[in-house]
Amino acid sequence: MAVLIRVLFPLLASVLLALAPPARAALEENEVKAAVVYHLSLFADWPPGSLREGSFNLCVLTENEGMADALSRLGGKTVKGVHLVVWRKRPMLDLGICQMVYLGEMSEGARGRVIAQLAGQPVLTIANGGIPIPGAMVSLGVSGERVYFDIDLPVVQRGGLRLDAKLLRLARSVVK
Amino acid sequence: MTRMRAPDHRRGWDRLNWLSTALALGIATLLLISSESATLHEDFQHRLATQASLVAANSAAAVVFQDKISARDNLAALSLAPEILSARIVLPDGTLFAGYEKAGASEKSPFWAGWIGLDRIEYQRGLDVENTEVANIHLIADLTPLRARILGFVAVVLGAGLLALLAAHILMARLRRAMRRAEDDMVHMAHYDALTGLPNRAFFETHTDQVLARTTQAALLFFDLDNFKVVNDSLGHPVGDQLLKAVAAQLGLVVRQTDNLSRLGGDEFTLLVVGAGHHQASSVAEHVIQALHHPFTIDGHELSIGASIGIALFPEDGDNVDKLLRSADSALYAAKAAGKHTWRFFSAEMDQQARDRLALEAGLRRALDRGELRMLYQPIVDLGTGRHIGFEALMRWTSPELGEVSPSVFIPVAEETGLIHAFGAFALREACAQARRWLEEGRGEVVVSVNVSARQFHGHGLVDSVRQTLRETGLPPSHLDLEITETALMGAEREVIDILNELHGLGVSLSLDDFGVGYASLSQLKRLPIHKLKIDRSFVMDIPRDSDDAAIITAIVGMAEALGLSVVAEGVETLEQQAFLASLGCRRGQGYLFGKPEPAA
Repeated sequence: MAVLIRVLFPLLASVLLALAPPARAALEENEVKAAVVYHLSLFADWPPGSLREGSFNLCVLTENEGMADALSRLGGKTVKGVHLVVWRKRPMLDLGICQMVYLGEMSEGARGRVIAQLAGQPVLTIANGGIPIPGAMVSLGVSGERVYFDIDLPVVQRGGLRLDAKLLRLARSVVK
Repeated sequence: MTRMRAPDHRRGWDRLNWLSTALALGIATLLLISSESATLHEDFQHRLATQASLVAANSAAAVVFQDKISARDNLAALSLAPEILSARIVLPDGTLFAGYEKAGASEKSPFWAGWIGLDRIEYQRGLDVENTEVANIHLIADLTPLRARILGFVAVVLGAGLLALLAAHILMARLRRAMRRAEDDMVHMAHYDALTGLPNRAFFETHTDQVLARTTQAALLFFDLDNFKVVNDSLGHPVGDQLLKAVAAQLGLVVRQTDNLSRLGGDEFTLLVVGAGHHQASSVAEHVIQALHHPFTIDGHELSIGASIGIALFPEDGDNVDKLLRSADSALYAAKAAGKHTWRFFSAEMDQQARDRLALEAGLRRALDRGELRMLYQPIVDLGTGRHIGFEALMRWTSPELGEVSPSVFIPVAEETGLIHAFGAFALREACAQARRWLEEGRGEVVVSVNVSARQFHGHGLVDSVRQTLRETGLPPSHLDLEITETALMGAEREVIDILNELHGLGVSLSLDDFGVGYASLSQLKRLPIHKLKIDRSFVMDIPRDSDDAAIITAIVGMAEALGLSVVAEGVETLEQQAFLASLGCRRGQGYLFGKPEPAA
C-alpha cells in the first residue's frame, strides 16, 4: 500500500498537473465573459418603463454549465441601482421578465427562434458565437486572452435601447 | 535779523510718517498677493479635479472592458491641457493600466518654485463603476501657468503699490510743507511784532541772552518816542500805529544788519549793538536820534517826534538781559529828565534815582490808605478890599519814610501811575466838605478851588465824581471852582469840551490855571465854558519893574474883560504888586501876601 502510494501519488499528481491549465483557461474565459456581460449592462440604456422595480433580470440560455455558473455568480451585483437577478432559462420558455438575455451554446434553430421572439423588444441580447450572430444586439468572441464584442446598432435601435458611445469605441466592429 | 530755524525733530517725524505709509502699503500688498495666490491655487486645483473627472468618465468603459489601447488614447487627449505633466490609471491591485507623460516633462521648475509650494501639484481620485472602484486616476500638473499669473499679479500690485506710495509721498510732502509753513508762521507770530515786523520782547530776551553768552562787550540802547502819547491821544491809534511802522522802517535803514532791533511794546524799542563800547554806542545813539529827528508825514499830518535814548553797557551795567534792560531804562529816564531828544549812559547814581523813584511810588501807593495826604487852603482875595473871597485847596503829602514830599515831585508820579484819580477824588471830597463847613459857619461868600489834573479828563469819571461829591457833602455847586491846566485842553479836544460843558451844567465854575505859559489858543477860549483865568506867577513875580510882564498882564486882563472872564493873579507877594495889579484892572489875587496855604481854620 505504501509502495502503491509512493508510486501512484506522483503519477496522479503529474496527470492532474497536465490537465489543469486547459481547465483553468476555460474557467477564466467564462469569468471574463461573465464580467463583460455584466459591464455591457452598465453601458446600455433601456427605454423608460422597460425596467422593473426591485430587480434587473438577466436570463441565461446556454448548455455550457461552466458559463452558466460564471453568470449566476453575477447575481447580487447592481445594475442601474437595483439588484441583478440571474435566471436560468430553457428555449421556448417565456422571456417576458428579462431585460437582458445571454444566448450561449445552443442549437442554431433554437437561437434563431429566441432571437425572432425578442426582435423589437427592449431586451439586450448578447450572443456568444465568435462571429456576429444575425439578430443579436451584441456578439461576444474570444481572441487569445481577450474577449471582444461586435455590435449590431440597427438591432439595438429597433429594440429601443441605447448604447454608450464609449462602448461603441471599444467594440471590434459596429454594424450601423 | 535771525529767523528761527526749523527744529530737527520734524525730519524724524517725516521719516516715521513715510515709513508707516510704506509699511501699510507693503502689508496691504502682501495680503492682496497671498489672497490672490490662494484663489488662483484653488482655481487650479478645481480645474485639475475637473480634468480628473473627465479622464475618469472617458476611461471607465476602457477600464472595465480592459481596453488599454483605448484608455491610452483617451489619456493622450490630455496633451491639449499643457499643464498636465503626467496622468496614470492604476488598477486596484497597484498595476499600471494606462499612463500618459507630457513630452519634455522632465523640464525643471525654477529652484525657488519648490520653496513656496508652487512647483507642481498632484491630484488623485477613484474611478467608480456601479459603486465599485475599478481604478485610481493620478494626475500631476505643472504650476508654471499659475506661477506666471501670480508673478503677473505681483508685478501689477507692486507697481500699483509703488505708484500709490509715490502719490502718498507727493501728497505728504505737500502737506508737510503747508504744515511747516503754518508752524513757521506761528513761530514768527510768537517772536515778532505783527505791526512793525520787528522781534518782540520774548524774542529780544532769548536772543539777547544767547548773544550775551557769546560776546565780551555790547551796548543796549533803550529808547522811546518823545511825543508818541500825544499823537496817539490826539490823532487816534490808527495814526499811532502807522507812525510806529514808519519809525520801525526808518530805524531799519539806520541800524546795521547785525544789530538786533526789537519793539518791546508801545513806543519802546531796543537796539542791541554787539561788540560796541562807550564810543560806538554814543555814535549809534546819535544816529538814531538824527534818524527820528525829521518829521514823519502820516495821513496828511506832519508829526515831529524824536527819541530819548538810555544806554547800558554789557557787562559793566548788567550781566544779563534783565539787569541790562533795567539799567538802560534808568538811563532813558535820565535822558528824558535832561530834556528830550537826547541820550544818556547809565550810571550808578541813576540806579539810586531809580530806586528812589521806586520808593516814592511805593510810598505814594500807600499814602491815601495810611492817611498821609492832607489838604491845605490858600486864600484868594479881592485886591481892592483885601477880603477873602475863596480858597485854593492844595494837597500835601507827609511820608513817614521820605518826610515832606513836594507836590511837584509826587503829583507827576501819581499821574503816571494812575493814582491821580483816587487822589483827585480825595481832594474834591475834602475841599467840598471843608467849604460846606465854612458855609455852615456863615462865610457864605467863600468859593473853594480844586485842581484837576489833565489825566482826570480821561474817561467820564470826573463828572460823576463831582456830582456825587456835591450831593454827599451838600455843597451848592456855585461854591466849587475847578482849576484845570492848559495841557488838559490839548489832546482829545472834543471829549474835553464835552466834559467841561457837563461840569458847567452842574453849576460848577471853571478856571484856567497857569494861564500864559501854555499853548492855550485864544480862539478856543471863547468856545469853552471857562469863567476865570489865573495868571501864572511868573508874570507877577517881576512887576512892576518888568514892563513886558506888565504889558502881558494888561493884555490878559483886557481880553478877559472882553470875554466876560474874571482874572486871578497868582504869586502876589508884595503890596506894590497888589497895588499895581489893581491899577491894571486885575481884581483878584492869591499869594503869600494874603496868606500861605494852611490847614483849614
